[in-house]
Amino acid sequence: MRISRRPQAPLDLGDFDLLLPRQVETVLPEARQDLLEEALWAEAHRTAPCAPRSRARRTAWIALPAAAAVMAGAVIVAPDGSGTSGTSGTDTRPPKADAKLEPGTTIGLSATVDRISLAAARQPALEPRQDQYIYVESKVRGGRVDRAGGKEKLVVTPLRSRQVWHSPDGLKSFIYEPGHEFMDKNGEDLDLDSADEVTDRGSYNSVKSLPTDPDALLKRLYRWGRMGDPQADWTAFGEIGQLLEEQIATPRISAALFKAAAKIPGVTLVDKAVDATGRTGVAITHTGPNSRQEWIFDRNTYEYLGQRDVLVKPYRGLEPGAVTSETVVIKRAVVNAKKELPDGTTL
Amino acid sequence: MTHIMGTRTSHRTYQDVTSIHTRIRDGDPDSFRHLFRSHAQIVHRYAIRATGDWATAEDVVSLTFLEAWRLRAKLPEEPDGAKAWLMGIAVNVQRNTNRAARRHEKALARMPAKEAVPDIAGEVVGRMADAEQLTAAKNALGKLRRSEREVVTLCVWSGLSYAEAAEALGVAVGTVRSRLFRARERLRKLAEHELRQHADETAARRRPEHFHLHLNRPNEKWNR
Repeated sequence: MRISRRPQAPLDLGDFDLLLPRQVETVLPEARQDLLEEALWAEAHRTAPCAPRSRARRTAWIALPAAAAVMAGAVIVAPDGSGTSGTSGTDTRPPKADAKLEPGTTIGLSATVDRISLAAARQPALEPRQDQYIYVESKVRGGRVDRAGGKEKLVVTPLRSRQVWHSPDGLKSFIYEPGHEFMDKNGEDLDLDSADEVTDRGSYNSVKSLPTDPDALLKRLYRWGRMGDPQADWTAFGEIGQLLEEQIATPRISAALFKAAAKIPGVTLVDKAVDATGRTGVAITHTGPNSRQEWIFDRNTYEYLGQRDVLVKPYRGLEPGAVTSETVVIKRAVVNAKKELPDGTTL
Repeated sequence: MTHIMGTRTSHRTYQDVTSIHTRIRDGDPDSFRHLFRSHAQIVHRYAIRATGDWATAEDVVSLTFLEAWRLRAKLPEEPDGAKAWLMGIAVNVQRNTNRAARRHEKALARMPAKEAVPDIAGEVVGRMADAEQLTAAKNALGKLRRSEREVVTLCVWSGLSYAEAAEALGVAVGTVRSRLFRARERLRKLAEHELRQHADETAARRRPEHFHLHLNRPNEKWNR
C-alpha cells in the first residue's frame, strides 16, 4: 500500500484498543477445525468435476463393469505386529495393521495390466437408459482424525455398507449409508439444482464420452499437472481409482483406463493383496506422500475386487502397513428408480 | 499451513500457491482443503467477532467455505488474493446468513454436529469468560453503522490491510479508510458519553472507588 499524502495516512488502529472491548484470542479448536475440514472436503467432493481422490466419503459416480461377486462383509486380516495401537488408549479399536507392506515391482506389470484390461473389455456392458439409474452397492471404511484426549489419532471406521443411485446425467442421486457418521440414517437425496453443476462433475454420460485411446485419456488425467511430477502422478492414478469405485464405463473405456494407468510413472504390481472382505488377489499400486493406493484384482479372472489405502509412513498414530481406507464393490446394476434394488424390491 | 498465505519472498512458494489456486478453480477438492486449512482460523476469528457467538460463527465459517467452493471459478489467481476474497465472502455470508443457509441447506445439515467438540473443563470456563467479552464487543460494534462495523472487524480485529479490506468489501481503499475514521470518531464520542454517564451514576451511588477501580484495571473487560 502506498501512502503519500496526509489524508491517505493510515489510522492508528491502536486507537481502537482504547475504544473497544479487549478481544480474547478466539480460536477454532483444532479438533473442531479438523471435523469441519473433513466435512467441507466431502462436500467439495460431492460436486467436484472429477475428483482426484476420495477417502472418507465417496459420491463419485457409477462403476466400471467389473467384479460383482457378493461377499459377506467380514473382518479382515490379522494384525501382524507392525502396527501398534494408539499410545494412550481410550480408543478401543486398535488400528488395523495389515500384512507388512508387500514391495511393488514393475516386473510383470504390463502383462498383468493387459489381462486386467482384457477382462474389463469382456465384461457385459451395463447401459442405462436416460430415465434409469445406476446402482452400486459397496462396502467401505475410512479414517477420521480423532483428537479426543489431546493426541492426534487416525481412527479407521468399521466396514459398512453403502448403496448409491445415480441418474445417467448425474442430476439425480440417492445415497444410503446408514453407518456413516454424518449421513442421514434414512438416506439422502443428492439431487443437483442445475445442470451446470453436473457437467462440471462427471456422470455416466460424461464417462461414456471419455476417449478410448489410453494416451488421450492420460492427457485428460494430467490436466492438473505434468507427468513425472509425483503429485500429478498420484492425482492421475487416484482419479482412475475413483472411477473404479462407483462409476460405470463402457468396457472399451474401462480397458483404456487400465492401460492408461499402467503408463503413470511409479505404478507397480504387488503380488499379494487382500481386499476389505478378505479376498486375496494381485494389486496395481501407486505410492503417494503418505500412503499407497492399491487396486485389487482377482488372481484368476482379473476382475476388479476393490481398493484400499495402506500407509507407507507413520501417520497420526498409525504405523506403516495400516489400512486407512478401503472399498469393495458388491454389486453394480441398472435399476428403474432411486431406492430400487436390483432384485426389484425397494430399499 | 501458513505457507499458502505466505510472503512472496520465495519464488517456489509463489508458484506452488498459484498452482493450488488454479487447481481449486478447476475443482480439486484436495487443494480446496488446503485453502480451508490455511484460512479457517482467520475466517473464524472474523465470524466470531462479527456474530458474537460461537455457534453462529461456526455456521458462518461453514457457509463461507461452501460459498467459496461454489464460487471457486472466481478465486483470484494471485497467491495473496485468497484472504481478501474469502473475507469478502464471509462478509456477505454474515450480512445475510439466512440466505446463505438456505442455499446450502443440505450441506449444512451434513456438517458435524456442534456438540461434537469435547469440552474440557478448563475450556468451558474460558468459554464463559470469552462469551462475556464477545457480548461486550458486539454491543460496542452494535453502535456503529454496518459499513463501519465491517471495516472495524476486518481491519482491527482480523488484521486485514486497507487494500485487502477494500477488496473484500468491494469498495475503494479510501472508503475503507474513511469508514474506519468515522467508526473511530463515533466510538470515541460514545466512550466519552459513557464515561460521563458512568461517572454520574457512580457519583450518585456514592461509590467512587468502583469507578476508579474500573479505569485502572487494564486487563479486565476494557483495554487500558
